[in-house]
Order: sequence, then structure tokens, then C-alpha cells
Amino acid sequence: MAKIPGYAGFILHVDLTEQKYEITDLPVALVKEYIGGKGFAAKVLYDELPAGCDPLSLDNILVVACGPLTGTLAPTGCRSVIAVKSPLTGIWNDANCGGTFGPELKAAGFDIIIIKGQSETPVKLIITDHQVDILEATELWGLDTFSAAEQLKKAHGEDYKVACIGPAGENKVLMASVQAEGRSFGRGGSGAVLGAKKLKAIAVKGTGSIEIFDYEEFLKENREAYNEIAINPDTGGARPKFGTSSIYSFIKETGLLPIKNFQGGSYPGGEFIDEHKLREELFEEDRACFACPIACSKYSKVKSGPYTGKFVEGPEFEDFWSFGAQCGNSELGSIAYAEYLSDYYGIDAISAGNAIGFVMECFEKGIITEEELGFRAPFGDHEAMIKIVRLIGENQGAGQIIGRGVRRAAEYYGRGSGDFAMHVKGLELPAYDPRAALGMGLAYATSDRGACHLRAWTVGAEVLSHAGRIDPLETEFKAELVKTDQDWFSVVNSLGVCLFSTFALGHNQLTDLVHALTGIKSFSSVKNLLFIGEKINNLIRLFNVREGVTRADDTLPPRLLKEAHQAGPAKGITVPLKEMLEQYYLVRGWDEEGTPTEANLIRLGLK
Amino acid sequence: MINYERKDCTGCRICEIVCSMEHFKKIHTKRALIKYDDDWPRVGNVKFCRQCPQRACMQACPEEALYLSPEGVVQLDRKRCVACLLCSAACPFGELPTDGEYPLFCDTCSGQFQCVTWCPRKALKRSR
Repeated sequence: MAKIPGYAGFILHVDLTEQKYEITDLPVALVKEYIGGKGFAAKVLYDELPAGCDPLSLDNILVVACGPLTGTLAPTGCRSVIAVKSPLTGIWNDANCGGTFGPELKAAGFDIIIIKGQSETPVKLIITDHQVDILEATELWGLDTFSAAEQLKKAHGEDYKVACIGPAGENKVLMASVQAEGRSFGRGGSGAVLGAKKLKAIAVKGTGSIEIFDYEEFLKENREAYNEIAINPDTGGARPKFGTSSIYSFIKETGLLPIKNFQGGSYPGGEFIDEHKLREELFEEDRACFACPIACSKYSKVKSGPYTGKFVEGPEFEDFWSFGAQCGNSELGSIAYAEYLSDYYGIDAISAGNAIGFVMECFEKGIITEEELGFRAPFGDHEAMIKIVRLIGENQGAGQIIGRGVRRAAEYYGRGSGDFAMHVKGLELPAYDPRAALGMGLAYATSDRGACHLRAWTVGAEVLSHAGRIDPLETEFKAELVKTDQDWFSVVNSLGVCLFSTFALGHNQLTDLVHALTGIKSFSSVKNLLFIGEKINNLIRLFNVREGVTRADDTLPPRLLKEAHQAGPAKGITVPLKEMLEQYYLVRGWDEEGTPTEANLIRLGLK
Repeated sequence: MINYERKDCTGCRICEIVCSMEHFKKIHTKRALIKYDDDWPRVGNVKFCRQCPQRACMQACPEEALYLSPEGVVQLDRKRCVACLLCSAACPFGELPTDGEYPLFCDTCSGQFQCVTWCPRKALKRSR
């Protein structure tokens, strides 16, 4: 079969129970209907995952998938996804990662890896083009993610790109990540699924190529896209300069930055830290993912204070918040170090920081005592914060409770702490307070994997665009905004480019890129792609409904619904979720319980 | 010749991608004539023939496998090359990339210098 332009062309099926593998052709029909990446993963998991299975049992399936633009010249074409049934939330989860792992997987000839079963002893999956080896990995078990990758490369060759878990994943810590070449498949606990399968690492090396349907057109579209990225004030200016924290001051000023577990107020030193301080104090070099002209990643080194000499690839905006404002902490070195430790142990730095903020509030309210923790943990205590990161990573002491996420921690500690356990469907909230941009409330409540800012990011339209066009504190248009964002973001996450490219590249530009690359008719217009995005989201909703999600789960932490925002432009506001949610179900074509209607499924070709 | 400023490089590998596209009309980064070696967490280094005027490689080659094209570009005659890599050892800019065996020499994309054109940070630049 001739290779489909833009695709590597093959699926690798791995059965860890049988220690066997099989390689099959990538079906053209799958490509046309689901694009790649997230779309592929949705189709595979919906069709093949046994409903109601225990996420940490051998029944769970782990899908790694790339998109057509992954590994190509298309700007930011570096992304791959890992999708599983999440052990943290019990529902769908796809975690998206940049860097070089996805491009290398395509060079090895695979668009998708489907991993089933469970090994009895630790193993590693070594992929060298179409040569696949499932090898014993006892020597790597117990190692942190950096050492594991280093050892593996020492044994098999420096050219391999490695995705692996650390001690957290091995211990099935529910917020464990998968780390790949300095980047993370962060959210939702896919690291614990690898741990349960006893798969320590996936290493890939490939020499293959990707065909281009219309070479001249693809080159031209890229030239335009690169120019757009270069001249855009975000992607060509603030983001390369300040990293992902480029929006920090703006988010803070507009009341969107959650402080001390979304309580609001101030904390010592908080007024002095921002993206400028971060750049002055920490940043050393700009680093880019594969094919990325933006280079928002930073190599940072701590130059003063108690954490002098510590380094990190980062810190990213989300972690700058989760280990900063969320913990009432302004000690920059500790923020960098906490992110480093998250990568070292292989844990999600958003969930970890969020959970530490929760613990600190519990501590200050007397719900968690010094005796239980083994130390004091008031807001702003960066030493306590680092200790808790370690406890989560090593699954020791209170870390055994906290590492299971705030939903379970609140159930354990009780005494009303559920009211300020900041999660949706079990996934911890990221760095935007939806009381200051109501669309984010709907985005969190309806995101396919729980509280996530990367399924719809209404902050752009509500706050960053011209003031007053869409009022962040009104509910009007929010349902439509969230739906359109969700549908397009699912397209972007299926194409294999980074969401940050969309700050500069419009729908048409990404469409033209993928159409020139693949020549596939169903990718020829924005309308067609949005249809696919909507179809993916509905398929995932069906997956989640099958796993028991109802309207009651499409909600927000009580704090956001009952406690008014403390200060700034959003002072006095709570999230009026009900009316936005009802309108959302309406524009989605879902019934009152949030289930896709028969007519809607027929329209989308899902029935 | 082409100059490379490591301090401006971000390790994006766009040079590898466009180089392979120019030569093979598809994306085949592993066969690019320019190679980026990462040094995580720091930015790494790009290995490539700069087409410099010194041409220490030509003097070092014991097989006379290197010759100048009519445009003045150093090129390799594969039939003569014995893959001893003495050219690479003599290169004043460090190692040359290889295809696993033979050294790889930049051909300037027939004067188009695609890596220079596409380098988003101008870490690669042309100079006289």
C-alpha cells in the first residue's frame, strides 16, 4: 500500500501480557475521519476499551498517537498524545507532549502505538524503525526519569528518544506523568497506567521519511505561517522572551490568577514576582521543541538563595502558579526546584502544586495537623512545599494521600475540605480563576478530562482581546465560545501542532498546511475540520457517559459557585454555571443530562 | 560560507527539516546534511559543513575525494571516499555530520541556503 502523505503509515500493537507485538497498516478511513493524535486515540479507546474497567488493571489501554503535522516543517509540529482511561478521574484522559518524542516515533514508521495487557516484571519497549523489542528492565525500575532515560541511552544508543516513568508512576501515584526528553505528558495520571503495566520506558529511533502531497504548496503555506509567527506580538515577542509566563502580569491584574487555593488575598512577596523577575533571575537559554520557531521553553538556573545551583527546563506558567501563588510562595528558586522534582519523580506539576495549596489551606484551618504531616505546612512555606513534592513522588507518608489528588484527599481528611478541593471530575484546576472569566468555568466543567485549560481557553477572547467585546463577567456567548474552542482544539490536538501556534495561526492557515501536506479532501476546509473536531468531542463524551459521567459531574468546586471573588475587576462574582451549562448542552446537541442526542450522533456519523 | 552562532540557536531542528526537504522533496531529517545534537537541559550544537574558504578538509583528504564544483562548493566524490573521516578531524569548526559512514558536505542548496533562510533565530547566517 502506498504511504499516505503526512503519515508514517503504521500502527504498532503491543501486548505486554503475551510479550508480543504486531504491526498493521494505518487505515485510510481512520485518517479521513479522525485526522490523527487525539482523534485516533478517541476512536481506539472508544472501540476497544472495556467499559467500566479498572484503570490500573491489565484491561486499560494506553494509546500513543501522532498527527499528520507531527515531525514535519509545520511550525510547532512536535506534539504527540498519550491517552488512557485515567486512574485519577476514572474517565477519558489525553495528555499532550512536545519535544522530540512524537517526531521520532513517526520517523520510526508509526503514527500510533496501542499498548495492552500487563507485564509481570518491569519491561522496556525499544523501537528501532520496525524492529520492536520488549526487554526486561529490572535495572531501570526505581530510577528517576532522568537517570532512567540516561541509562537506557547508555545501553541502547544516544540517538533514542525516551518516554518513561519515574518512581511515582511505578508506585501508581494517581497524578503520575510520563516524561519524554525534558517534556511531560503531564495530566491525568497516565504514568500510573504505565506503572501498572510495568512498562518503565518506551525508546524510539527511526530513519524513515514523511511524504508531502503538494511540495510547493506546503512550502509556501509554511513560509506564510512562519512569517505570521515571527511578526505576532505573542509568538514572535512576549512568548519567546518570557516563556509561557508571558501572560502572568496580565492574568494577575485581571483577577484571573488564583491565590492560596483560590481564596484570594495577598501573600508575602507576591507583588514582586512576575514574568520580568522570572526572566531576570532564572532564565539562561531559550529552548525549542521540534520544528518550533517560538521557543517558549527555557533553561533556567537558580543563582541565589537557598536553591542556588538548581536547574529546570522551565518553569512554565502553570507551575510558576501552582508552586507559587497557589502555595502563597514567592521564593522563585523553590518554584524552579519543585518543577524539577516533579519531572524527576514523574508527577504532574499542576495537580501536585494544586494539591499542596489544598494541604496548606487544610493545615491553616486545622483540618490537617503537624502530627499527621510530620511538619508544619502553612502557606508560603517553601520547604514544606518541597517536602510534600518529595512525599508525593516517593509515595511516602502523607504523600500517599495527597498524591491521589485533592478529590480523594478531601474524602480522607473530611471536615468540609471538599468545599475547597479544587478539582473537576477529580482533575485539579489549573492557573485560571473562572470567577474572573466566566467562560473558563464552563470550560472546566465540560472539559473531557476534568478541569483543564487546554480544551477551551476562553481567556483569549474574554480578557486578552479588546475589552468589552466579550465581557468576561457575563454569561452571554460563553457556551458558543467554549464549544467552538473545544472543537477546534481537538482538531489542533489531532493535527500534532502545539496550541500555542494558534495565537498566530488562524483556522485557515492550519487547514491549508494539513491539506497541502496530505491532500485529503476531508481536510480541505475549516468547516470540515471543525466537523471532525466536534465528532471527536462527541465520541469522547460517549466514552465518558459510558464510564458514568452525567450532568451532575459537569460542575465546579463549591468554592467557585458559592464564595465570591475577593478583589479586583471580578470582586463579588461567583460562577453562574447552571445557565451557561444549559445553553452549552443546547448548542452541543446534548440532552438535559448531557448525553449526545440520537439526532446529533446521526448528524456526526457516530450512529 | 555559513556562520553558526550557538548562543542564538534554540535547538528547533528546522534546519534539519528544510535541508531534507530541499534534497529529497519529502521530510527525511535523518538524511539531512546538517545535524543538531541536543545537550539537554542546555541547547546543543549544530554539526555541518560551513563551506568555509580554508578548506582544511580538502588538504586532509588522502584520497583526493574532495573537489570544488564550478560554483566553488566543496563536494565529495563517493567513489573515491574511503570514509576515513580525516576531513572531519581537520575541520576547524568541529566534526562533520555523517550518514553513519561517509561524511556529509553542504551543497548550499544550489545557492539557496535553505537552512539560513528558515532558521527562525538567525543562528545560521551567510557571510563572505
